[in-house]
Amino acid sequence: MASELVPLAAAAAIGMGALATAWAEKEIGSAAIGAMAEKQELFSKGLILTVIPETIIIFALVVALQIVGLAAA
Amino acid sequence: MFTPEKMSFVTLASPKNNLEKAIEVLYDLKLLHIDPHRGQDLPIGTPLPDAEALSRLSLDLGFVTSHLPPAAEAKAMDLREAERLVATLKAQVAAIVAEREALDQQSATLEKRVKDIAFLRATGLRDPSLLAGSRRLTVMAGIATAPRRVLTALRSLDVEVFSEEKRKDGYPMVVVSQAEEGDKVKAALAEAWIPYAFDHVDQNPGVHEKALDAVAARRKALDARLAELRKAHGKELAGCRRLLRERIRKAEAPLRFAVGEHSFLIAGWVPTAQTAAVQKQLGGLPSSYLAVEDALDGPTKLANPRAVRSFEFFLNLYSLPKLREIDPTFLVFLSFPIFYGMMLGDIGYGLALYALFSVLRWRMPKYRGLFDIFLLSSIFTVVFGYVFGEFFGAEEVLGIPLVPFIHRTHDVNELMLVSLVFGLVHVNLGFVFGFVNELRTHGLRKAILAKGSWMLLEAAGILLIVDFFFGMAFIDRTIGFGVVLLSVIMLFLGEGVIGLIEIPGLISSVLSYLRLAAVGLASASLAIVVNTMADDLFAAGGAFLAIGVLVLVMGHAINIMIGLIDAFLQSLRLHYVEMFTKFYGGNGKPYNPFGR
Repeated sequence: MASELVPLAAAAAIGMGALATAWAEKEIGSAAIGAMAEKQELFSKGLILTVIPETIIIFALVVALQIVGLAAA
Repeated sequence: MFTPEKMSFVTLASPKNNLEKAIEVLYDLKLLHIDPHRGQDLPIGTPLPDAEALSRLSLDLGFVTSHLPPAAEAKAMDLREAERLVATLKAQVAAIVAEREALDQQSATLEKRVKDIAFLRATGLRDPSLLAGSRRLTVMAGIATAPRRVLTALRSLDVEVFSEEKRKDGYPMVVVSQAEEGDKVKAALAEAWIPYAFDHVDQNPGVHEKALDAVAARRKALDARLAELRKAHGKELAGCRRLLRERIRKAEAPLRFAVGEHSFLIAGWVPTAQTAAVQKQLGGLPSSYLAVEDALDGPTKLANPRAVRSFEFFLNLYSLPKLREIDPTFLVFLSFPIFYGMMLGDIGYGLALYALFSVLRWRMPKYRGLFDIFLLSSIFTVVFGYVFGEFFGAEEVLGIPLVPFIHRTHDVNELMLVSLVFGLVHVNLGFVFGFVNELRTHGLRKAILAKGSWMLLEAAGILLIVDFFFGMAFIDRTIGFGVVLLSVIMLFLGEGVIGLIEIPGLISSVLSYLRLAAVGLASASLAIVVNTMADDLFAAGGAFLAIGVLVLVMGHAINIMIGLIDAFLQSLRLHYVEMFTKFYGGNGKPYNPFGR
């Protein structure tokens, strides 16, 4: 594989992961805020549900790092 | 430490004439969390006879305090004093407020007059009597927002226009026309015209201003009078408020008791350690019966050592454990600052945040608990900063090089491995807690099936992964797969289909701890970027020096802010989502004793 594509591949991995996370959190976050407006006690549940998709971007970062690492090896 | 405080369920049955005494005793004890009676078998009680008078007094006090806010410090009052004070103050305040309202109205009228005169002067119309109009003349007053358009529209009509000065909002204008042309004029004006209504115009410039001054002076005197009253009675009012709150709570307490024709019944929870005091105090009531038994269910009072207590914040935010459930506060106290420190991990950032939160803790004593959490987390940030060898992103402090044990940007794989180990330990602690919870509530069999199965599955899974991917065989593969199968069956028996569905979730839970490495990597990279930018600017010299300092300060400030929020939320999430879900039930009610 042409080595100049490696950084692009890593960037694509993390970029798409970031978009996916953002999209998911947007959906959950707006619903959570709506629920919180109705019921203050739902704050913690809302917070937890909102940050669940954070895992996607963490995995994306790991994949990006692996792409760079494997290409270097 | 690992369980909420033990509670006892207390029931008091007593003749009705003891009711008030019992309420007094319980209020002073401040120990009983009342289990409200819902009206089965016996009706609920009615408020004590003085409740209505107290409510009325409280209403009056509310009126007085809405104009005279009570002082922070309270003076002890008795009911007679409170009644007298509230009655006098109510009369005085009502008089002042009524006069003030009248003055406000008067001042509004006067202001309008002054405005009218000013408007008239701006139009240049000298004779205000013209404004009233007549049978033959129509007079319209208003502000022309686009005067040229208005004048063009009026050109074909027989009108006289008065307008002299321009004001901010347009040209004050008076248009006089023949009565029969009035409608046409109105239509012509409609486009750029804000009508102005005169109240009453007279030719006494200066008189109204003087009257206004007098009104303002009188109003100021009234305000001063209120302030004086407040100063004189603020402490007493605070005392009244406290007294009334107490008396009303006592008077309304029977609404939560079962009260029959001749006797009453009070039920509730008391911390087991304090039952002796309750027994001693309530034992004094004649011909009463008091039952004390161990409670299986009831309100939650967390019992943690002082140093750990600030971390109860996280449980209050999430959900309190049930009475006989594990209280994970101590574990959060151990792992939260470690995770936080590992993600932020920088000696400089840790010191800066420690200083910041020390100041905030001192300035905002109300949030002391939360800042204690941050202070401890900052200490761990410094510790991990030493491990990673970072000081504001640089690998030296004042020229002394730091030697990292793990280099965050170079040894990414090692750091991820460490994160996964933390994750495994943390998640398994969750399973251990879950095991104990099940053991306490459903017995050993359920505990092994529901939680032991997870740990077994994990152990077998790890051994197989090590075997397949790293070629280190510790057990025979057949046995390995056999154990996996066994644990899955146990899991199905223990937690049902839901348990099976959650198996992939176990992997993602552990992998989720990779964020310990990932968030740190991002934070360290940002710090390095800031430093590199600043270095380049410093190398350029001259005016760039100042910009370099600015970049350095702003860059690190922003990075600290991001890191602070991110490390806090991510660490919190690892606890709430990854760990608590393995054992935590929650939904406990806070212990809220009568009288506190």
